Amino acid sequence: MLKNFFITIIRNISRNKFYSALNMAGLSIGLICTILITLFIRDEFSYDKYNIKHERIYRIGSDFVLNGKQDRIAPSSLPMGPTFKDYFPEVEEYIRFIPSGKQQIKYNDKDFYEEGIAYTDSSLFDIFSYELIKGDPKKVLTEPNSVIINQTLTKKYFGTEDPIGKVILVDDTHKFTVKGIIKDIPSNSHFKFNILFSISTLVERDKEKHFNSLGPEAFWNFSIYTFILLKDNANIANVEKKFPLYYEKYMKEFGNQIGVDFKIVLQKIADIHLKSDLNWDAPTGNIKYIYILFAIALFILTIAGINYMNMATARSSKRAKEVGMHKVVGAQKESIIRLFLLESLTLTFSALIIAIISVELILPLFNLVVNKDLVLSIYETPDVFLFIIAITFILGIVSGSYPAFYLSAFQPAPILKGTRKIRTGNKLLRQILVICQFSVSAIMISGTIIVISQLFFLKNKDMGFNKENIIIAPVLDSSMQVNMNEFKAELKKNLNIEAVATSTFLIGFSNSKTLHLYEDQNKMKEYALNFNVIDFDYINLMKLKLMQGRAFSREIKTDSTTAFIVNQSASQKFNWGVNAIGKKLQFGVSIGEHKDIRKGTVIGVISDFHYQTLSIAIEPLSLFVSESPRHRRMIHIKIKQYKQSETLAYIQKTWNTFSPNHSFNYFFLDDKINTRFKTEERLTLMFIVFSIISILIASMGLFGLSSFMAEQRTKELGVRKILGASTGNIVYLLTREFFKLIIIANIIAIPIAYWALNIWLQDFPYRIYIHAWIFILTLIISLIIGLFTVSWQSYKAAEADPAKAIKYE
Amino acid sequence: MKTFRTDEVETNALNNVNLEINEGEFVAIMGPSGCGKSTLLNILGLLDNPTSGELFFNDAQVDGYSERQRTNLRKENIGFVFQSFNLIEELTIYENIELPLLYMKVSSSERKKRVNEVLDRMKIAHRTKHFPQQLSGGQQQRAAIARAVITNPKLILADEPTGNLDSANGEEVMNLLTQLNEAGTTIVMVTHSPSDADRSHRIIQLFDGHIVTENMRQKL
Repeated sequence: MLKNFFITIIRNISRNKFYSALNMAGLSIGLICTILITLFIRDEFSYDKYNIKHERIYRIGSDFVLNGKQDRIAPSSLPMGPTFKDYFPEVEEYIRFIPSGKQQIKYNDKDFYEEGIAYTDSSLFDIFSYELIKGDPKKVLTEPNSVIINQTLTKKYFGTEDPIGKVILVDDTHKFTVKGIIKDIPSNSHFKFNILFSISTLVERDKEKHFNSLGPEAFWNFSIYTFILLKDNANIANVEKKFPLYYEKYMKEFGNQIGVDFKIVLQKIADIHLKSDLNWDAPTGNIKYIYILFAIALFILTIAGINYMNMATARSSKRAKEVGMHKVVGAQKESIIRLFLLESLTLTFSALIIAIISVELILPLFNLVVNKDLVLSIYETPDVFLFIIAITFILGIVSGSYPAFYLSAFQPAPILKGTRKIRTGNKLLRQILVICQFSVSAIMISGTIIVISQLFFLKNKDMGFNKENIIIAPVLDSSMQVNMNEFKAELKKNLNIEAVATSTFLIGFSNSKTLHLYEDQNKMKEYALNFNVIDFDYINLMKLKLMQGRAFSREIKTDSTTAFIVNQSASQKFNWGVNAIGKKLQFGVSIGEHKDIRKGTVIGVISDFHYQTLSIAIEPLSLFVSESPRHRRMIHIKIKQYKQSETLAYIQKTWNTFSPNHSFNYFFLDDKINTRFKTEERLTLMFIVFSIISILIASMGLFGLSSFMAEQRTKELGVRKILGASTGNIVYLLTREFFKLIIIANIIAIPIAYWALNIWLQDFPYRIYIHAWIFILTLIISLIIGLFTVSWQSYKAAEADPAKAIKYE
Repeated sequence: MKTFRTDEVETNALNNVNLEINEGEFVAIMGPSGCGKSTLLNILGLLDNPTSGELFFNDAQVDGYSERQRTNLRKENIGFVFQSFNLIEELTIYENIELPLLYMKVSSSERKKRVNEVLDRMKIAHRTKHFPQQLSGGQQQRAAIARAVITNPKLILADEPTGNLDSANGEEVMNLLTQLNEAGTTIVMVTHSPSDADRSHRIIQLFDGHIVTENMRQKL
């Protein structure tokens, strides 16, 4: 019996190559998208779960409210790790990461600039499941000046040599001995490092014994990342409950002094990637994007499934006789249902095979786009296989069920006699299904337009400073920092170099917050303020606009010791209004033995500019000039558009004379700022690709349906032509109905798209608003696609020879 | 009685029809278009249920049977022959004829034996691998008859079996039906052709859902 079913199914498929191909293509593409998205989402949810103990690993973050402003940040302070282990019996172990930015690594005569470097505790391998290829996990990070390097960099530095015991030179000053090789950190880690130094190095270097201090200056400096490992069966809620007692013991005194309300944020390591909402965090994923992708996969599958249902029921008149005859010779209703379900399952599973093969081919490209190392294999991702098999099964059953129940309910007698014209399925239902497809497509089209517009908006938003033709280079060489003024003078000799300035932090990328005291009605109040240390040329080079007062000047001696410039937000925050000039401001507060403070007055207010990423609303900022060479960490060189390569060559040459041991590593500021939008760019690209796909599948369905309708109406159209209808009349007749459906679909899509995309846009402090033109454009695009799809078949039908058409039976 | 309902009008397709067909009989039903011939045939073939009245098959009262029961009764006992053949286009001649046996769950070797036997009898053994469209009308109808008799039904219902055939092929089909009848199969045939009706034992004239005449004929 089964054999007979399959024969019928296969012959049906091969008899109707055109419709089968449309169906297969739609289902395969739908499944390809579903598999890719499933792999993507699976990877997003797998972050940090490769750590066997991930259920017990928590990160300590900080949440404080100062003068009404809340700050939730991922970093913690140095003493927290060890004191947590002492204080809470639940804590088995702790580990700290002290990130150290970009550094120069030298081995033999080769030098490299590396990122992803940190100092860390020797408990690394007790907590995380990283794989050490060479070295003893108990010992590699215990001694001072030890380093472990990942596999990729080991190959880069040492080639085939055995690296263990080799010495590398860091920033031309510190020597480290290679103690181990670690396997590259899995890509699904929320933080990644390439090189780890032993934390005991810092203890040894610290002559004044500050490192292990438990004073307030140590507790209240939030600049490192701490993880704790709970004991088996310990409950994190107990740690949270007892934290106020801990706070009272270690932190309360200074906290009360500045009036801060401090809480702890304990995050499960596996939750960080998707759920962390903290500032100063490693770049994380976004659970909203997961929802969006999930919806897209569901949409595309729905469209493909609807295609199948529509085509199958539309062609029901052709199948009716077959069904009738099966019934006459003894088939029960259930066996007919089974036949059609089996047919849809055969089709969907064939489509699945095509999809799996295609995914294997597409995956390298997809990985490039999403920046992941996804694989699809029975051994590595058996869960994905099970999932897509289940999805395919559901797809087959759901899309096969309507044709199955519809066709099996046919009464055989009239069909076989040929007395009753079989209606081609339920027309209303088919219309509803087409409306569904085009609503989904309209949501995707308007989503694409909105995502592109937002990206365009962010990229072209006035940042409030000049970012064109500015070359940036980090200055890691301390002798160059000392000779900075000479270097600047040498550069300025070139007429194509307009200005040179230095700062501590790179605009838009890194900044630092420190407690300031500001004047409020003759009293000084605390506020955690962002700051940057600049030189006299910075404001001019960046073209920052002064609102009140003046810029820093070399002529006035006190400008490098006691002068501050604040931004408009700060002036507003401190209620200074138009009288900001002359107000007192103090950088830093004295905590314990720590006295890095600077007292002064405000000499100018600049208008707000985006010194942080556009995903953060502009916060108050203070700027000041320092003559101390250690603040000259970023050099900014403004050049003319014209003859850039010559200018660059000149800078390179000058650099080499001032800093022969450090290569000139530069980038353009605007390029660097544009890389900030990678997440949005990736989302835009995915949106474009997936909406094209969903439109493509919906169009294939519409194409098939319209061909079928035209075919069905051959005789009617022939009669109409004989009675005098023009080709135009007939094309209009055939396309009119689909147009109506597309318009209804768009009307349904508008509120859904508006609602969903507004939720997405809410994440951006600087965003576009959804205007009516977006939906009008969407409608026009849908209509053009619809017209394009339907008109060809309609035209063919209209041009057909009417004499042949009316003879056709 | 059989009533068809459309939105506004109720039509009684058959009214007050009292008919008994004996085993081994060959009955022809005649009458103008729309007189209820096909409805009567469908009710006799258990494809349709009467709206009211009683129906007996093999002494069992079968009106009010569920679709499942009717299907089971039908597949064991009744064969159908249509004017438009109604062979399934996606199946070969062999597979079309085999189909009823599949629903009766006959073993594969037995199926093969019986299909080949009937193919020989219908003189289409050389066409087994072909699809219906590749055959002439006469050959298709012989295949359809082969499919109807493969289960050895007690009753064959034929709805204008020669309606789409030329006279030579029509003649051959009528010969086959006559032979089947002589071998003991009951046949009820709807026809417009008086010469086909001549082959029967009894001609029933229907008009407007009523039986108007019933001619018993004595075969010579």
